This record gives sequence, structure tokens and C-alpha cells, in this order.
Amino acid sequence: MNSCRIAGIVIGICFMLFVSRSASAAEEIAFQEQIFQEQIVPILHLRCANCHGAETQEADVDFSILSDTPSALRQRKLWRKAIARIEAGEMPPASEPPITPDEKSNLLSWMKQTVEVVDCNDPANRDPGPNLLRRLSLVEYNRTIRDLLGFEYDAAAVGMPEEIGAGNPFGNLAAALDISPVLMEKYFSAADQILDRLFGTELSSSVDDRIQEQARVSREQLFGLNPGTWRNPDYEVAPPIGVTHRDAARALIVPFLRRAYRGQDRADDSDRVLALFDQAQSQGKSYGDSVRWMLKAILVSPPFLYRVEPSRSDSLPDDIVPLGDHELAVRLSYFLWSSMPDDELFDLADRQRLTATGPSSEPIKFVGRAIAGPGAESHQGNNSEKVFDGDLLTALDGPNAASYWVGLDLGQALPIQEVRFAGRVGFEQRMLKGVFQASDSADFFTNVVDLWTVTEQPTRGWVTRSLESAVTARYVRYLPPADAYGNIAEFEVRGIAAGTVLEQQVRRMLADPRAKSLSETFALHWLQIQNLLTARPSTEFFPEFNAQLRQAMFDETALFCETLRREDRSVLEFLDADYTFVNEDLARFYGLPEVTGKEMRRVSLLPEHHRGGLLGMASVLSLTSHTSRTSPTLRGKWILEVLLGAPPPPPPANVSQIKEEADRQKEIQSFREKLTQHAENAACAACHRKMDPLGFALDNFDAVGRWREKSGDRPLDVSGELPTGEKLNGARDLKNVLLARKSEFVNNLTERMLAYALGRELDVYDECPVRQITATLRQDEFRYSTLVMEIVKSFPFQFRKNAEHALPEMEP
Amino acid sequence: MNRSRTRRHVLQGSGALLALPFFESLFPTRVSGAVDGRPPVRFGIFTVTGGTVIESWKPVAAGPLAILPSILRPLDFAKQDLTVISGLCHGGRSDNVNAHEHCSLTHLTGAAFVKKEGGKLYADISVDQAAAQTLGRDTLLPSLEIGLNGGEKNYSFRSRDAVVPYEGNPRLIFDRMFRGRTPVVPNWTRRASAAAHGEQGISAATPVRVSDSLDRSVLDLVLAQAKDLRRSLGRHDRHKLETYLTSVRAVETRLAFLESRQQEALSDLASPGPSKLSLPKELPKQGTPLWEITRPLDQDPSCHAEYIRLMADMMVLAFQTDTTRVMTVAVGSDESLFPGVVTVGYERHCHTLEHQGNSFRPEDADPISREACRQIHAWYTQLFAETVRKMKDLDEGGSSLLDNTVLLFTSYMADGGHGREDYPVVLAGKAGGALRSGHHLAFESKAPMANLYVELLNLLGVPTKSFGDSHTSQFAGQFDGRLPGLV
Repeated sequence: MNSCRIAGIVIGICFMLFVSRSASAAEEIAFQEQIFQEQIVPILHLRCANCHGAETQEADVDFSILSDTPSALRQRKLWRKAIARIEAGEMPPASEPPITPDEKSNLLSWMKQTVEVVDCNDPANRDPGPNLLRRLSLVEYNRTIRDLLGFEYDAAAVGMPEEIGAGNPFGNLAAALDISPVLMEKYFSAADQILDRLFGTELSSSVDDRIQEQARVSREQLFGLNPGTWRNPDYEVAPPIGVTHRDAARALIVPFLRRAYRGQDRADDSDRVLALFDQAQSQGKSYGDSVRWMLKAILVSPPFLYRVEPSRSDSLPDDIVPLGDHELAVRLSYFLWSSMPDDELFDLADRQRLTATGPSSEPIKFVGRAIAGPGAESHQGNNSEKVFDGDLLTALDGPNAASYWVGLDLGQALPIQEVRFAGRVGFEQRMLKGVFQASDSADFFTNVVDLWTVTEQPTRGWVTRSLESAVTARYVRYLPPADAYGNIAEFEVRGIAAGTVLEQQVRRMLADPRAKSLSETFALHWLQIQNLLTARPSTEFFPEFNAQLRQAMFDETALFCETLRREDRSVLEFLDADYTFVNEDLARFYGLPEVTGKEMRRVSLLPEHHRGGLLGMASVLSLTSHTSRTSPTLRGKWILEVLLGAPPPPPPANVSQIKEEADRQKEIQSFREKLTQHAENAACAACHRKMDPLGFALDNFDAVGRWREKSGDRPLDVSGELPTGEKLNGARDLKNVLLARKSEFVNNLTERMLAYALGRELDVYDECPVRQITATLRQDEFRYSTLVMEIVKSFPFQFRKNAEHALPEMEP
Repeated sequence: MNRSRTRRHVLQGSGALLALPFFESLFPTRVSGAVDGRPPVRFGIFTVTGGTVIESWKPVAAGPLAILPSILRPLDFAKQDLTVISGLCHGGRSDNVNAHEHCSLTHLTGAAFVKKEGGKLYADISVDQAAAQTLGRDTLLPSLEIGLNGGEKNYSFRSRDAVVPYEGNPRLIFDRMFRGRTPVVPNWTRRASAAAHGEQGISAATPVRVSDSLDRSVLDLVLAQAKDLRRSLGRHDRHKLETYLTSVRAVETRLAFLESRQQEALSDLASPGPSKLSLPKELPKQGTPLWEITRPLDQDPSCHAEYIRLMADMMVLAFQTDTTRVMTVAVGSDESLFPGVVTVGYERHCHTLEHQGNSFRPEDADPISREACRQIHAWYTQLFAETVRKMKDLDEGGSSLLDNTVLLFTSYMADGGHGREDYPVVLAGKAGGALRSGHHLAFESKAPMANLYVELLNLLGVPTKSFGDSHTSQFAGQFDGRLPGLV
């Protein structure tokens, strides 16, 4: 009887969702209301209202406010929590009268259906979330310093803590990013260290030469000096001839402030820092030292340490407003790069092009594959790649002066309108008489067109040349003058392409090396791969599991994540793929065909290799194991939590553990029986039935991810049945089960990445955007770039809530 | 000399911000603790991971301490300085945290309710921070929190939503204490007689370095910016920016403190107190990232022991030089391996051992793992005992540093199974004579841990009648927030 009624509710809800505009909608709603009032309200009243009712609201939960179905439908967050608590047997608590099994199952099925119902037309679901003040995380701080000042720095050196941790997986949750007095001191120390590095006054033995060189170039640029003229670590620098100290300081600091404050116009601020300059000057400090004081103040100031989206006086408090151009640029750059916007983004934002709709008329960089003529591969590694890495500090410096070249294959003929390049810092004159060419053949034998010949010494940094008319070609190259050794740091071509400015920028940014942070900061932490460093399997039991092998395992997963991004592959490859990355050690460990050397490289996989996708990676398999054995439970938990986004609740306190055998020979002998026995315990069963079969299916992989056919001298049993009834036997079946549940996986990945992009936890109103993103993703073969693009275009990314107007400042 | 005139001199000399009312509090109105010639009372917390193994920790009988159980035995030499308390419990509830987080958030706060929301932690002010609000007024650092903390373990809170980060890098701890000042042992007797003759700790002649005044201007500038910014933010974010302002002001306070105490530091340098300073010999070099220091600890107990010794030495040094009077040292890691310390069975991984060695009833737990846990806790106590011995040997002019300290030795869990009942609690030291030590205080029917915090705060001169869940806990009983028999 009861289950029939519940089935009725389920059908009713579905009906309401999909046929809501039909003639019978009103009847359906009435039917829903009746079910809710007659079936659900009495249970809530009887079993819950004592502690969660009108009189007492334990844990701020009050069921008495749910007067009708619409109000109940809005409480999806509450139902989620309630389901977990009731399923875990924690509610009602043991001290209260127990809920009957019938009541429990009715209530649970109703709640489970209710959480699936989202009405995206309901204004309550059009909410971009709270307005947030976002402090830079450690990762963001380091990357921002690098892009602002042009040299590498890691604030971990002053003990600035990494925010990544339980409940803050990417370290960028705005709510958790506070400043404490201790942290403030660290910002001061970091600023001192950074400026010591800029002026070259830190202990040089503690910094590597490459970074010292970066800093030297950076200070010459900042002070407008000729390359190579400021080698000494000091403040002995003069303003340009004929310019007063004050004017030079202003010319230097105004553009710097604008970048440091990410495009915000704050006229007061330049006057304030210049007053500091004046004070330093009046105390007899040199010009260089006085500038340093201004920089210090900027590096510890709130507009630098916080990303601010200030309230808008032309809108009412809590109005939902679209992001301004600079706000959008900043959100984009911190999502894709974990850093500040670059000059191109600033320029587009200044001209309000980033929020412009319609096809773009801005020339955009064409993405291509690096190609090179013979001889360009030098003694210093594969330098031709360095011409396309977006990094002005790395350059092609050829092995000999003979003629060779470096270029791009654009994949198809494209209309080239602009050539942009940058010479090697300090060697720009060596580009004189070099020539940029286009061709329709990769060897530049046919239809070669000269795009631009360098006729005067290029200035430092990026140089842009517009062509008189567009040249359509697939291949472009830079041919250095004879005896010039290359000496080019960057080269790109641009033209008009399809899409809006925003779409083009997202594609450009995704292809940029800085987007590696999507793998390093997002993907690897989502997958918990950093735990590999402290994974439990010990070398006592697994001598092969040494530091080098661990590193290779880590690199395999990291390269895999990067490949999905760089090659814009399907995110379903996380679940299954026909390639992976190994070096000599890892290939041998996996039993793959031999490769030689320490470098990781891509290899193709066959089904008999048992690898492919995350679940064939030793990194994942090791970080979910115990000291001496596999843990089907931990592996199952990892799959539920990380891949499907449905973590089981933690075990109840003081639950009995599976006892280890003192004799290690017996390791696995009866482990399955023991776990089964343990899992039969009612308190444990509900979750173990979900976790253990998933983990047992992977038991052909030992505790460090090596394939095995048996454990000790006993055969392995890798069979199991999920609570949903699916039977599985081994890793292949498990992959198929997961691929069949790909919508759960994709949904979970979308939620994680959206939370990362927004720097906040998702809320119930975010379900509509998530559904829209995954729907588009499904139509577009689950491509990585589509996921990123749709997140950028999503409502909560594009809009924000206006803050209430400021009250008059109250001085204490 | 007129005190207010002195202050004005300093303010003028440093070009400081007269408009800021908080500036007034930068200048202590008294040098407390030294007025009667006696050193001040210090409050230290030495807290380990993994609870304890109760049957090897709890003395059989209440009353005067006789034979100590095996885990406490390393402290036998200081038996008369110890107060062992059993039966204390945390009753706080939690939301959206795991069992380790639950235990760690209630540990020093005794909060009735703890939670995590949006990745942010909520508990209550912790006992160390509550003590620092009073004891911290007269020292360079109001309090110091060091050791392995963070992640799932967060013990200290300045307020309900302001967690205090711990510093794990010994080099940075040392720099924080002594950058810009020479380590020196205060001469409490001299300071007392100086106070009696009406001399102030602050002198108009205090030289103000030129760079300090620029530092001040930097602070001034960013405070002004923050105030501007505050106008363009919503209510919630304005609150958030307040934490920035508070933090900048804390930096300012330290700057002012250094300036104001130069004269006193010079006097102490000329005739220091009787105990000898021993500065740490080997500190990690500048710029070493924390993981490089802490990662070996998880693999190698001898490295781990050296690290704990160094951390404990930092506490002794901070108390001895009166750099701070409130210090928390977080020790141990659930993720560590203990080869050589654990000599039974083959499992060496602490967290695994803790789970296997605990169950609803100790009898149901794996006996080998339980013995392993006992060995680990005896090892922690050995290291704690070394610290107690050092403090007992430091003469502060008729009394030892241990006499003038109350040192809480405990753990963030009661046992390795995330238990929150019957915590291991030992107080070492006499808190300047206020503590009746040398006995075991047993609360057979249990009492809130928060009551201990009320008693400790009162002992340290912080007048409070309740703390955390001292009156709302399921263990509150008829105690009214007290622990009868402690003082």
C-alpha cells in the first residue's frame, strides 16, 4: 500500500516536471499537495518536529515552515542533508522514539525524488550567489607576482600556508580565505623578499641564476633602462635625463598600480603612494629606494591582496548585474590561469570589447603546432617550442649560425592580418634583416610570401605589425638572418576568426601555457593525486615503490590531465583511454612494451594491458591502499567520492576495525571474508555495499597498482554486485559500469569545476546552470574546451549580486 | 616623569597616527608580574595526536600520586609538580566535519557546536587565545602557536570564525620572536625595583629609527585604502575586511612595542636574569619550504623526535625571554610511521594503529595495535618530560620557570578512535604557586573539559565563570563550570 502511494508521488513529480504546462497540470499540483500533506507532513510532525519544529530548531532546522509542496521543493539542500543523516541511522537519534521502517522508506523515497526536482523558471533559481571578496590564495599570489613583476617567487619561503585542505580542495574558497595577524606579517615579509629579489639585494646564493636574471631584466624594464645596464644589486638608479624624480616616479607607478590593482581606476591611490615616495625622498632616500617603498605599500595593500567586485551605485542592493569588462577579465584569468589578466585582456577590457556580443572584429592569435627547419633543435633542449610558450624569458638560441627557421602549422589556411613577435631580451638587434614568411607548404617551397622583414632594431617586448592586406596561408615561419643564432623569444600571427571576443579569448587562454594551472591547481587536487606523496604502501612490503617510481606515477596522471586540456579531448577519457604516459621504470612496472629513458612519453594501450583512464593508473591505485595490502573500501570510496561525487558518510565513531594478521603470509587469505563479515554489521552495511564491490573489481591491481592474477597463492575473487543490481567482475566491467553512469561523472566534474571557477561552494540555485552546462557538453562529445567555455558563459560566472550601498563610515 | 607626556613624545617622534584610537592600547600602562619582584605566570599547551591508551595512562587511584602508569612514567622525577586529571570530556556537536576535525575544533575551544561552511571553520574562542587577551598585553607576541597544525587539525580560534594558523618552520618561529631584538633573559628583580621607583618602561629618549617611520606610513596608507574599500562592499565583505584591518593593526602594535621597550631591553642586557640562554644551534636555512622540514618526520621517528625537541625548546626560550606568556605547541601527526618506536606487530602507520587499537570497548580492539599505540604515547611523554626537566632547571631568581608556568599536556582526541570522553590531561608546573600539585583528580562520573579551561583562565587572572560548553554540556552536571579540588 505504502509503496504504491510513493510510486504515485514519483510519477506525479516527474509529470509535473515535464508536462507542467499541460491542461492537467493544476490537477497534478493538487495531487502532489495531497500526497505531501497526507503522507509526508504527518511523518515529519511525528518523528522530527520535536527537535526541528516551531518550538525548537536544533541545528537551525525547522520543518514547520514547510507549509506546501512549492515551499518543500525549494529545500533541496535540507533534503540532501536529511537523506544522508537518515540513511546513516543518525536521525532520529537513539535518544528519541525510533522511526518505523515503513515511515523511513516512504520519507526517503519522497526526499530523493524531491531533490531531483528543479524548476529553472523559478526566480529563486536565478541567483548568481553572494557577492564575494576574494583574497588571493597562495597559488594565486605566487602566480600573480610572477606575471606582475616578471620573475618567479614562492611565498612558501616565508611560511605562507597553502590553503588547500579538507573542505577547500583547491584552496580558493572565498569564505575560507581570511587574513590573520600572522598572515599579515607574512605578507610584509614576502613583500620585502620580493623587492630584495627585484633589486638584486637578496642573498644570491639562495636563488637560482635563472631567477636572478629574470629579476634583473624586470628591474631594467620597470625603470626604463637599457638592457644590461643594471647589473649591480643596489638602488643606484637615476630617472631618465631631464625628468624630475617626482615625475619619473609618477610615470613609473601609475601604470604599475593599474596592473597590480587589476584594472581598477583608483585615482586616490596613486596620490597616496606618491606621498610615500615624497616622504622617503625627504628622508634622503635614493630614487630607487623611494620607489621601493611605493612598491612595498602596493604589495601589502587590500586592492592587491583581494579581488574586489565593488558595489555599483547605479543599481539597487541585491540587484543581479552583469559583470563589467574588468571584472570579467579578472574572473577569467583567475579561473584559467590562477593569475592576473595579461595586457591583451586589459586592453580588450579597457575598450569594453570583452562583454561585446556578436562576431569579433578583433584580430586573435591563431593557435598552431610548432614546426622547425633542420638545425633548430639545439644543445639547450627543444628550443623551437620556446618561441610559442608565451614566455618572454625563454628564447630560441640556435646551436649554430647556419640558416634554419622556426614556425607554425595553423592546421588550415587562415587569413593572417598581424605578425607579433618579441626578440630575445638583450639581443633584439640580432633580429635585424630576419624575415617572417607564409606558405602553403610545410617545407616553404611553394607560394612563399614575405609577411614582414625586420628593418630596424625591435624594441624590447612584444612588437606588433599589421599587414596591408590579409594573407591567407596555413604555414608561417621566422627565418633569422645569417649568423644570428635565432634569438627570438616569441612569435605569433593573428587575424579575424569566428566567435565572440569572449569565446576567442577563452580559446586563446586555454591554449596558453599558463592554463596549466587547470591541471595543477584544479584537476590534480580534484583527483587527490597530491596524496600520492604520502601514500601508505611502504617500501618494506613494496621495495619497488620508491621515490622515483612515485614521481613517475604522479607525472603520468599530470601529463594525462594536461593532454586532455592541450588536445581538447573528451573528459570521458578520465574513465577510459587507449593511451597513457610512462618512462622506462613505469613501463616495466606496468608490464608494457619496453621504452628507454627517464622521460615520460605517450604510449598506446591495448585491452590486454589492463590500463587506460584513471583506474588503470598506479597513482590512484596506490593512494587508496594500506601499508601492506589493497583496500577495496578505500578504492570504492575514492570512486564514489572523486568520480561520482557521492561520498559515503564517514564511519560511525569507534566502529570495530578489521584486525590485521600478525603473520604477513596470510595477508589476503581471508580478507574478503573478514570484510564481508564486517560489512554485514547493520551500521556498516549500507555504505560498504556501495563501496566494496567497486573496490574488489580493482583487486587485480595490487597495493601499488601492479597487475596480478592471484594474491599470494590464492586466486583472486574480483566479482561483486552493486546495490543497484549491476553485477561486475573485474576492472573492465567496472569501467563499463562507470561509462554507463557517465552522466553522474560529468555532472560531478562540472560541479567541481564550476565551484573552482566561482571560488565558492555550489548551492541549490546552481543546479540549473550545471544542468545547462552538462546538456551542452553531451551534445559536443564531452570536449574539455566545451566544459570550460560553458562554465564561462554560465549565469553565475557572468552575473553577480550588487552589494547594498555603503553606510556612512563610522569611526570608532 | 609624567606618563602622558612621555607618550606624546613617542608619538611625535615616530610620526604616528594620533587619530587612531586603538593606538592608545599600544602602550602598556603597567609592567605586570614584576611589581612584587616575581616573574609572571606563563601558560603553555603541549598537545599530541591520537589521544592516549587510557588503561596505561590513568593512575589507579585518586589522591596523591604514587606509582605512575607506564605512559606517564617518564614524568616520575617531577611527580610533585604534576596534577593528573581524569574523566574530562567534550560534549560539543558538529556539522559538516569529519571525526578528526570535530575533535580538533572542540579541543581547545570546548565549543558546544562546531561546523564547516564554505570551507570555513566555526568553533569558539580557544583557551589559549582567551588567556592571551589578558596575558598577552605585556609581551611582544600576545601568544605563539607552533608545530604541526592545519588541514584536519585546527586548535586555536581568536573568535568564533577566526582560526589561528600555526607556524611549523623553526627558522620562521625564531625570526618572529627575535627579528629586530636581541634574545635576553629579563631581570625580574631589577624590573620590580625599577617599577617601585616610578621608572617607566617607556622612555622619551627612545630613539626612533627613520625606516620605522616609513613603515608606519605604509601601514597608514593601507589602512586608509581598506577604509575606502570598505565603502564599496556588502555587509558580509565589510566584516571580512575588518579582519584585514585588525591584522594590520596587530603589525602596528608589534612595531610600537619594539620601539617602546628598547630602553627596558637595554637594561636587561646590561644586567640579565640569572638563567642562561641556550639558543637553538641548527635552524633550517632561510627560505626552506615547510614540507621539506616536515616530510622526513613522517618516515623517521628520530627526525620526528628532534623536531619535537626543537619546538619545545622554542617554547622554553619564548617563556624564558618573556617574548610571550601564552604558547601552544602542536605535536605529532596521525600520518606518521613509527618504526623503532613500535616494536610489536608489523604495522607502523600511526593512523591505522589508532583505529585498530580502539573500538567501542578496549577489549574488542586488536591487542597488538593497542600495545603499539601505548608505545607511541610513552614516546611522546618522554619528549614532554625532557621539556619539563629543562623548565625545572631554569632559575628565575628563587623559583624555577616550571614553578611559574602551568603546562597542559593533552591530546586533541581522547583515544585513537576519535573518542571525546575521558581525555588524557596532565598539568605540569605550579602556576606561580596557585596550583595544588602532586595528585590525581578523578572525575569518575565525568565533567566537561571546558571546566578545566574556566579554572585555568581564573588561575591566570582572567575572570570568567563559564567557557565553551561548561554549563551546557551533557557532562555539565552540578559542577557550575568548576573542577572542585584543583586549586
